[in-house]
Amino acid sequence: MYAIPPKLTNRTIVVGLSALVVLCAVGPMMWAISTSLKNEVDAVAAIPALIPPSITFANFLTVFTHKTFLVELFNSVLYAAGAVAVALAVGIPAGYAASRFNFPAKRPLMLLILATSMVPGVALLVPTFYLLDQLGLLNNRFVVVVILAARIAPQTVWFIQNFVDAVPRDIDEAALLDGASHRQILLLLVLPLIRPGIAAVAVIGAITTWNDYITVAVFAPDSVKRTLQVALVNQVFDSVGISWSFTMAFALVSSLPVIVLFVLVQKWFIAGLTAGAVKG
Amino acid sequence: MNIPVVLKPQAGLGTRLAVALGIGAATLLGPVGSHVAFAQTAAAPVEIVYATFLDPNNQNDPRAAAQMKAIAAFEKANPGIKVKVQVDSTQQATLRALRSRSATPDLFRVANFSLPEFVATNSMVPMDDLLKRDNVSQSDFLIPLAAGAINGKIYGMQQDYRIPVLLYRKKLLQQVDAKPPATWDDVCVVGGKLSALPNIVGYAVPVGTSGGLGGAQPLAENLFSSMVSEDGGKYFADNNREFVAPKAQVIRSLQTIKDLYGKCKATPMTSVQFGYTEVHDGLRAGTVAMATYGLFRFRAIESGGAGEDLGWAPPPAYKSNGKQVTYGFMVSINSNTANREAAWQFAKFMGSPEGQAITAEGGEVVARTSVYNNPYFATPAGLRQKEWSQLVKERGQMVNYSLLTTTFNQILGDAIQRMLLRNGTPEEAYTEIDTKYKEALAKSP
Repeated sequence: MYAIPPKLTNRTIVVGLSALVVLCAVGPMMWAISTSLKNEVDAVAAIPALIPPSITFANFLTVFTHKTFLVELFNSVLYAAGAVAVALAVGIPAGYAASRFNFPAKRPLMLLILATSMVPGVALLVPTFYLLDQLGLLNNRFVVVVILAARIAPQTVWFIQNFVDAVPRDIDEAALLDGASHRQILLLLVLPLIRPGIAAVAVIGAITTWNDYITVAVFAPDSVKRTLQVALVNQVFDSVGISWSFTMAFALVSSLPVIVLFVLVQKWFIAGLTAGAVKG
Repeated sequence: MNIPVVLKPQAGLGTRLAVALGIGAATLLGPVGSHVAFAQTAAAPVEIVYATFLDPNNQNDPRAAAQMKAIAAFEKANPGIKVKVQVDSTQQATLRALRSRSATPDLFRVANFSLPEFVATNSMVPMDDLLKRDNVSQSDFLIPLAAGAINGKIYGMQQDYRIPVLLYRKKLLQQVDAKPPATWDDVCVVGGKLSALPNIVGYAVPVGTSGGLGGAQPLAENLFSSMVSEDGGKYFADNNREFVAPKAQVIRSLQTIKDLYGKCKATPMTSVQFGYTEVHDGLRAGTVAMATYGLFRFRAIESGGAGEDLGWAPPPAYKSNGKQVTYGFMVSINSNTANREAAWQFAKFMGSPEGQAITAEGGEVVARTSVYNNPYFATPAGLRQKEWSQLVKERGQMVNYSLLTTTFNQILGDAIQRMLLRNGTPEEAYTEIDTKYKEALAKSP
């Protein structure tokens, strides 16, 4: 009787399980692509087909030529980029200070910063709405950027602190001896060394803010201030029924910028995430 | 700030201070003064914010286009008022604004079934005095305006009416040699034949939550409310709290739903998780043969796949001409608005024959009776709307809703799902609905 070698069995199991995981992850995306290439009738056909009977790009054309697409794309990019920039501008100095300085109540303060990120955003929705309404700050792009930045700032501080911790203190001490200020040490020495970490934090922050719906929907309900995500959800609440092929095309186009960003910075992203793994 | 050259360097401190203060004052007052002067010579139009689910940028929705046309006509007739549309798909942003006493939106579109919840915010303007002041007819409506009053007050200008209709696929009914059913007994027979066809839901009874505002909204809106109030018109009390539909009628309705799923086999179990979206897509695809559904979806289903095969008929009931719960949308005014008169002028226009004639082109069954003599209603689409308006007049009735409508719909859906999936009795389902709703009421303010 021929016995299957154990190594082959193990490899088969590993490959099989991996294929299953990949299918679960990629399957919905493949279905979305398939639906986006179908017409209205094929999209709801009784016996669904993965391969469209007739391929059409009309849905993508409709997305790109929709009169509000560019405004929504602009808002999405503005809010995501702005929030990440503000969070980094605040988080980098704060993370450096948390890593390098000892000051009274440092640990409770850091825990407090972390704790704020555990408060569900929905719990703050109504009081924030009330505050902004009273101040006349609803439908204000800058305010949206600040709120989104505030949401990702705590994790930014903590991540940056960890990345700065990985930079040897000897570098700081040597620079201090040479007469450099802490600002110079941060900007000229530490920052270049933690670039992969900053990239990782920026990508995480960008993905988080890019996918945000509730902040923009509640605090900037004006049509000219809304993002691709809000427009996408409005498709689902369309009172004349959902056009699935258009919605899928819209969803894919909305995801593209983040996918492109990730592809561009993935080396830095992976380096940033693994930077603390080996200390030497 | 540059000091003017007329000053000599050796000028005293007091002189320099006086000049600086003078320049500062001029800098501050100048723009203010010029603004006031400009305002006096050319008054800027008042801008009012109108919250509605009709998105002007939605090219698929003819109602949105009709809305913008109506707004343009209003602005032309009232050059001192500009209307800015704020899209609020779920009405939640508006509800939030009313609860926090925000001044915007100035006015908003609200469904009759949501009105009690909105009125409870104490941020809505009763229109009775305004209607009298401006001699607005309250009877030139398919259903008189007073029928939609809350606590005896009219809180909105009715825009349209929606009565459930039976939507069906013609070829499927022809296949089983059946006509559109007129009573629940007919639905049992015809639905059973249709469900015997492969991969077909004979008659959809949606008990799911998708596509609506929460809870089993499609069930409550299109079926349950009419079933329980067909005889006597009682649904919720005048104070919008207690559920006052007669127990016997509620149990009868629950039994009917159970029979459709069970004894008649008109409705397969897959329908338990159907919501608005599934029924809509099923009718489009031809996998749902019949459903009592919203007439406002007819055009979208027709153009979204059903085509000429989509038909409509009066909705089935216990009696073939049984009353059906009718609701619609109103334009209401935020009592915190800074532009109440401008808001009223817009609301009045949207409810006027002129405004209604424009919005009718969007496909809704507009509220004004006199509008139906317009030439638009001789077109094929207009004829259909006119037939629907006749249905509203003959079989439509307005009822009171709960100020916890979404909660009630959730309780209703849960109870019926439990009845269907665990083979419970209608009496048990009634007890569950009654008990849980009373608990929810007790917790509400």
